[in-house]
Amino acid sequence: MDAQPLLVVDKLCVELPHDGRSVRAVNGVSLAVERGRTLAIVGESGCGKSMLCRAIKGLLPGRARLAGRIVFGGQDLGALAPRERRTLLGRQVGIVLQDPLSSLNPVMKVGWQIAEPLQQQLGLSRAAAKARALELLTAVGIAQAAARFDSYPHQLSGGMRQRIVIAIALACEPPLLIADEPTTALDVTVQAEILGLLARLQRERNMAMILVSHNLGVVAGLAHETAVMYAGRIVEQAPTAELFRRMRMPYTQALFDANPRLDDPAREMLKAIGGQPPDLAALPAGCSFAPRCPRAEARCRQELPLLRDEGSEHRCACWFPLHREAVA
Amino acid sequence: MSGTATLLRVEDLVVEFPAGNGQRVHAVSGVNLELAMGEALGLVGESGCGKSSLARAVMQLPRPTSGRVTFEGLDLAALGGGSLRRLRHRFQMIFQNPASSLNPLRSVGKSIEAPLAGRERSERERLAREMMTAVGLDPQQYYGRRPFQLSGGQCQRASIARALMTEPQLLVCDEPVSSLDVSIQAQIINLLREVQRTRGLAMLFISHDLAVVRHLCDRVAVMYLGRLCEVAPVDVLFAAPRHPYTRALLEAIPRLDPGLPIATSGMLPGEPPSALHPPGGCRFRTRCPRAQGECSTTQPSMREVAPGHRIACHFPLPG
Repeated sequence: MDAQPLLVVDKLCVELPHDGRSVRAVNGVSLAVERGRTLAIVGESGCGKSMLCRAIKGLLPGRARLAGRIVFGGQDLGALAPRERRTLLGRQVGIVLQDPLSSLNPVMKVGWQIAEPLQQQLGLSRAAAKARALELLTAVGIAQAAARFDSYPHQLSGGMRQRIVIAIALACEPPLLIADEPTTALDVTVQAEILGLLARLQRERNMAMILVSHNLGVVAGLAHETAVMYAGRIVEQAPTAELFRRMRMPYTQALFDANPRLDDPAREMLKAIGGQPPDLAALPAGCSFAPRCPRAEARCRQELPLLRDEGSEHRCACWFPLHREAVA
Repeated sequence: MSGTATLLRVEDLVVEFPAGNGQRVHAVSGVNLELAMGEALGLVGESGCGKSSLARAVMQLPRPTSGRVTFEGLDLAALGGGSLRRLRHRFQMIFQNPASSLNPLRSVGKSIEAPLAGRERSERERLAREMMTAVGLDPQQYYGRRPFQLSGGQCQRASIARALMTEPQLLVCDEPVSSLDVSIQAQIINLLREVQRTRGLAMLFISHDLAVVRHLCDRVAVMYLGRLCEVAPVDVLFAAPRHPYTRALLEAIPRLDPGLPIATSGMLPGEPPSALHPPGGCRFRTRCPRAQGECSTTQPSMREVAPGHRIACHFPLPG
C-alpha cells in the first residue's frame, strides 16, 4: 500500500441552483482510493453519486459550486490553474458513463475517437496513435479490431459501444478509472461480460477504480470497498465482504432487502422501503433517512449522525446501528 | 392450467415491421401462448427479443402481421374498431415510463377517471379517489396534481390505478418497474402482486429481470429473437432450466454475495444477431454452447418435456 492514497476527497460539497433554491447534491463526502483498489459507491437516483464522480473528474455544470478538497496524487486540484487541472484530469482520470451512445461522437469513426486523446494528451503521431488504438480495441475484447476501427457508433451494439468507451477511457493509461453505472443500460448477459472486462483491466493495470451503481449485486463481486450514499452523504462504508456480512446502517439493510433475489422463495412479498427519498432542498433536521427508517427514534429526527468508525474498517452514520452488540 | 378457463390464447403470432430497402424486422416469429383466468405469466428476454412487440400485438396496438389472438374465445382480429374499443375495457396495459404514459396537462385524478368517460362526473371522481387509495396514492394530496409533480413511483401507481378503473380481467405490464429505483421498485412489485391476487387479475408481465418475475409470476416464458425458448412454472424454470439460453440468462445475473467472483463461466459469447436477418434453424445456435449441425438446419419445435414445461431445443440440458 502506498503511504498516500492516489485520490483523497475531503469534505466535498457540491451545490446546484434549482428552482431559485440551492440544492446540496453532495454534502460533505470524504473518501480515499488507493492504486489497485476498487471503491464502489451505491445508492438510489438523486443520492449524489454521479455528481461526486463529475466533481472528481472536473465535469460539473458551470452553475455548480464546489467546496472541500480533492487531492490527486498528492496534488490539490483546487490549487491548480484551470488549464493545468484539465490536463492532469484528462490524462490521469478515465471515465465511463452509463449511456455509451451519448458518450461517443456519432459522426466520427470509433477508432479515431480512441486515437484522439493519444494524439492530444500524449502527443503521439497519427500512425502511432492508430496502432495504439488497435491494441486498445483488442484489449477491451473487440474481435477484428482493424475492421471495427472504421465503424461508426450506430453500427455497433450497446455492449460493443461500451467497450469502445472503456477503450477511450483507458487510452492514456490513467491511474484512476471512474465507471458511473457502466452496465445499467445493457442487457444482463452483456453486463456480465463488461463487468468481467472491467475487473480484468483493473487488475492487469493496477488501476484505482471508482464503480458507481444502484445495484448491490453488481458491486458485490467487483469492489474491495463499498460506500453507500443517501441524500448526498455517505451513510456507511466498509470492505465489501464486511459490509455484506454485517450491515450496520438500516438504509443499507433496507436497500439489500428490497432487491428481488433469485434465491428468495418465489412469489413472496418483497421488503419494500416505505416513503420516498427526501427532497434535497428541504432535508430533515436529523438523519435524512429517519422519516423512512423503522428504527428511528426522537434523537434521529433532531441530531445528524456523523460517519464514525465502528471497528473492522467499518464506518456508519447512524445513532442506532444494527449489530451494535457485536461491537461492544 | 389445472382446469381453469383460458382467458387469452395467442396462436402462431407473427409481428414484422418494414425496415426500408425491402427488408423486414422479424420481431415476433410464430409464438403460441395461453393465459388462464387469474394467472400471472412472466415474459422475459433481452432487448430486441420481441417481448414488447408481442405484448403490443396482444393489445392490438397495432394489430399483428398474422396469427390469432383470442380473448375469452373472441378473435380480436375479427372485431371492428368499435367492438374492439368496448372490449378493451377488459384488457389494459401499463408501460415502462409512467410519466410519459400520463397526460402532462391533465391532473392525475382526471387521467385516472378518463377510462370511465360517459359516466356521471361525481361518480367518476368518487371511483377515481377510491382507486387512488387502493393503490397507495392519497387522493387528498394527489388528485389535483400534474404528473411532473409526482415521483416515478407515484406516476406508476397512478398508471396502475387508471388501468384498474374499468375492472379488467387482464393486465399487460411492459417493464413496469424497470425505470424505478430499487426501494420504489419493491413497493410497485408488491402493489402489483396485491392487486393481481385480490382482483383475480390475469397478468402478462414483461421484464428483462428474472428476479422480478420470480416474485410476481406463476409461470415464465423465455423469449429469444422473436421465438419462445422455454415455458415453465416459475419454480421449475429457476431450479432446473432445460434450454441453454435460459440457463445462460440465469447465470449472468450478478449475485448479492461478495464471496462469489462475477460470473465469467457459461457466459454467452457475442451478442444477439440482428432481427433483420435472424439465423436459420434455431435462432439461438450462433451463441449456444451446445449447438450442433442439426441446429442450423432444422428449427426446433416446442415440445412438452414435463407437465406444463415446454422447450424448443434439439439438445436440451438434462432435467
